Amino acid sequence: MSALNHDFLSQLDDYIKVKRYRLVNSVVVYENDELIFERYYNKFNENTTNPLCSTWKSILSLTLGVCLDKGIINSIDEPIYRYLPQFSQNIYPWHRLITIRHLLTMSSGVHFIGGVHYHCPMMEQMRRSKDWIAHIADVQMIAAPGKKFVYKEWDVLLLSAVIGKACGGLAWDIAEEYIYKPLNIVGKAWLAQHNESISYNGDEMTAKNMAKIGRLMLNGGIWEEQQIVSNTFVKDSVMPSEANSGYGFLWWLSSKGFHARGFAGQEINIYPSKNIVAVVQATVTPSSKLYSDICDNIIG
Amino acid sequence: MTIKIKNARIHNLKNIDIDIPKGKLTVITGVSGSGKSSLAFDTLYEEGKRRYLMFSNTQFMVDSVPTFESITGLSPTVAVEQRITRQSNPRSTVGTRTKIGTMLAALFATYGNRSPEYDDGEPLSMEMFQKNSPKGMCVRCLGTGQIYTANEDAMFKDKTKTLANLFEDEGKKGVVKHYAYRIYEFCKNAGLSPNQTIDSLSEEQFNTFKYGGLGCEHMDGVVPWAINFYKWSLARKYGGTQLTYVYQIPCPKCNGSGLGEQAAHTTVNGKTITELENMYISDLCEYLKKDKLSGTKLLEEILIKLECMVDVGLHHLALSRPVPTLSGGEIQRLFLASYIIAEMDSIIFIFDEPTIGLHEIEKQKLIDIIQNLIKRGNTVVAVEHDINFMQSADYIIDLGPRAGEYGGERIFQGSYADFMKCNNSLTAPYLSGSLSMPIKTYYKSVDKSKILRLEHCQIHNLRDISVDIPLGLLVGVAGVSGSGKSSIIADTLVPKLKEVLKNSVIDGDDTKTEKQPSDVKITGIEHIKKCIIVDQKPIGRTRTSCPATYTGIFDHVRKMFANSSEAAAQGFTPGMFSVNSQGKCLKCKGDGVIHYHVGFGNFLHVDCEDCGGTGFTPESMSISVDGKNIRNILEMSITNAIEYFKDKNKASYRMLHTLDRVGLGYMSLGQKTPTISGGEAQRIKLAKELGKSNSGKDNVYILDEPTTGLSFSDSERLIQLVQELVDNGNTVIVTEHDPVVLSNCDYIIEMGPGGGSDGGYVLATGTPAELRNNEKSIIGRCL
Repeated sequence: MSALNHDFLSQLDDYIKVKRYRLVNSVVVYENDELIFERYYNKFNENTTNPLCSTWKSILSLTLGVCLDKGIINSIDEPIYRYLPQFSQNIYPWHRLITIRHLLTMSSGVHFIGGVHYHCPMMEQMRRSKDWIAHIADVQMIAAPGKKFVYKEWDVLLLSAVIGKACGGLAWDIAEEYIYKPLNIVGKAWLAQHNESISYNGDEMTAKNMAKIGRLMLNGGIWEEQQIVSNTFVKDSVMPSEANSGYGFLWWLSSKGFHARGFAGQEINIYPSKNIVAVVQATVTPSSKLYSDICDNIIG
Repeated sequence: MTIKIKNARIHNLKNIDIDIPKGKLTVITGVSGSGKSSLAFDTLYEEGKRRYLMFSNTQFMVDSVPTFESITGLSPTVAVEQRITRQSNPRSTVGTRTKIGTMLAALFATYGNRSPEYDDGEPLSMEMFQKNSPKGMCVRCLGTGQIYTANEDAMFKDKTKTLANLFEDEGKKGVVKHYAYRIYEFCKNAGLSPNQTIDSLSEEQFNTFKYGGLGCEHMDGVVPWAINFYKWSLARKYGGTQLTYVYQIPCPKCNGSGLGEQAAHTTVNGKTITELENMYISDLCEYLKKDKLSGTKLLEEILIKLECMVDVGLHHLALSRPVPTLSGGEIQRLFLASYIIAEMDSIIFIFDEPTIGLHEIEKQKLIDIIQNLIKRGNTVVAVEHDINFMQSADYIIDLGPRAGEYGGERIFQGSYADFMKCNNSLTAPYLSGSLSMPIKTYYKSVDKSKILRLEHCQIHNLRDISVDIPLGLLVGVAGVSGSGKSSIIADTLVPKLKEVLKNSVIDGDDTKTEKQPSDVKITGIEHIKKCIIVDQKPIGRTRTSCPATYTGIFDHVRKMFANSSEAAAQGFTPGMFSVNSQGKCLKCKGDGVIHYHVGFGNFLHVDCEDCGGTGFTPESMSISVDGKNIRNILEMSITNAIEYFKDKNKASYRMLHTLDRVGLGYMSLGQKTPTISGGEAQRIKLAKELGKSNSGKDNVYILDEPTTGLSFSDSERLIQLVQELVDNGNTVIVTEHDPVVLSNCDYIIEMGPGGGSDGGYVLATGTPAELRNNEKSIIGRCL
């Protein structure tokens, strides 16, 4: 028997209509691994894919977890200069102190300007530079690693590069082989910068496939009796980090659970106490929107 | 067509009726404090602005107290006040202020030649050439062009020092104390002992000591601590600036340009945007004219703007020059340039002494430009004291006869010729020649044994020159704008004196941290005891600072109130009588006024209801001494205050007396900083120095255009004061354009011949008489 009053299904639908959330494309809810709600708008259906935006970051976190399990990377406390020589040039003394953990917790200390609606103006120069990592290594350090949480693209780019260098390929290769395939997820190859071993976002998925990521997390890294990511890493991922108690390893934390959140309102919400996973997808427009109230008000 | 003002009564104006002809050049003159600004800015400009904004539905404004009966014949009004333009964003430059920087950025983004190596095929955007934009800024220095660095070799040279004593030689107490506390905490966290020597550390421990990394709360490691402490102290003028191991260097990534890779590898006609922005405007103008791109609309627009700036006498500036380093006159002309470009008619322009800071030969050019504005159909009203400017005016309004409550009357309005016959005016006699500024007859001669010599000066446009400054004299430094007057005095002599005399240099402004080129040599310093810099920067930093607080009079006032029996009975401390302390009204925080934002950066100011616009709590207002409460004291004019303080406090009395002597008698004790002009601020500073009981001798006073904003009679008094200083055995160095002041100097150093790239040489030196006979001298003809 479901713990939820199933009246909430109609409530959820009404809520979206009353709030006039015209850009929301899909809402999918799983309870105890069972699909209990599925609604599409704007001509979306269960086969339509939507950009992941920054929910991708949480998948990258899982990918790192896989690397630890497979021994591709020894420890999250390894300094990144071992993989990225650009960070061993002593441009800033603090470079040698940056570890993978700092990248996972958005606390590398490298300066970043998010800009209005998180349009990331500083990315422009990096994209045009010949060596992305060297460019990031030149950016001013504003805090000692681990001291200051700043949500930024630099850290995930560096993390992707670390994984790429460690596995001798791309982070995408690991994710595809060890996460997407066993979970039967069809994704879109991450945008690659091959000469730098970076693969970076650009992924698109159906709502149900996104929910699989949440269900994997909820089940402690197990998918159909197969341990995809170690249980310890899953648990560590959603522990408050030193620099921000509301952030884990590329997962947002709240009192109700943990969340992957992306630009324009993409969400994977996991509510462990209720055994619920809820996914929201929305059309990407230049101004970022948030729909966290849908799930928080009605489900959480 | 006339603008008719009826019954103007703001401030000290005594219900006067004024007619201003439209389409003409009108000069408002009178002694300082006679009500010129009240009429021109607070009445005419405010009302013109208010009406324009009202009918265009841009916003509403409400004036609580009507300041006039009626004004007819108004059209849209534009004003350039020095007191407002002085306050600007520290990052704004001539380029950003005039928008030429933005236009150049657009030019580069559209027509720039890209180095093939950096051409990624994607189009460039304008932001890539703007260092304030995250898209364009150099990521290393974040657009500042400078980075802080520590000399680690020097810092850790002596390996036998203990961790705790690393900075013991730095001397400054602040540094040692700040470090001691943190190193103790740091060692506790890192498992080290403060008494360990550096050579006892393992390599890993040494690295931790240098750069941190163990999650210590207060310090990340010595190197980042030193750099941050240096930056922090710099911002707060604290002892940490003495940390010898830390310094600023040009950013190695962008070579000081503050821009990213794309901007550094894109050129127009062979030069990058940084190179163009560092050129003198006159040179830049010539350079762009040669450009093969000529004919593009954008370039034409840029050239029009640049040419205008050359015309108004700003040829010697570069686009990269920060606005806060400009003189009041330069800022005003910067605005003037932008108005000339806008081809408009029927506008009323109001200027505040537009000729300030201009050399005699440059003034005529400015007058021509203003007359062009009039030919185009505009009306110009200028508050001005300059004789040439008045002669070319169509209409003169004289207010007076004296300052403050003894002024505010209309003495004269009419043509210049009629003005000459006006007997009541304090200004007219000087113009007609029936009274003339006194030129001294006895000149002190140079004492060859007492000479301050500067060698190898080459900052800005100076050409590795040497300058002799005879001590014990009134020394004038002359030259056209940009010829190197300020470079030699403010940027070479002052920093050097600071370096050598250290705390014996009294300067209200410590923010300048420019590194002195080490090859400048100074000799003769042993003849100087103290150096006092009297500049035009605002007195104090807060809005509530005023002449009384700056000169220290207010300290006595607060004590006097706190010691009164009434206050003592209630246990009031001096802090109760300060708007910055316990005494401030809780609602308006001591401002006396509450500001409501009404859009477009404009505010509606309403008197605070709680304190009735006084800024004080009712408790502090309830105490009075000799029938005056704290607010009454602040509202008193300096002239009136002299009488009040006569038997109360000697030091205050003397200070007030000096303030009156420098021509500030009309000012109220509590006049707030934002309403004090640069010239007034300078005279307050001068008075503060003069008012000290033992001014002594062998001091050097450095003044920048001290007669700014002074009428003839006021200038005369100021010259007397300065002469007194010299007679007491001090040296006074004045940078000046006014021929009368220069004629009163014992010795003149003239820089020139032109401005910017045409200047930088010492053109002539000697007494005024010698310069008159020196063919090379330009100013000599005017003496």
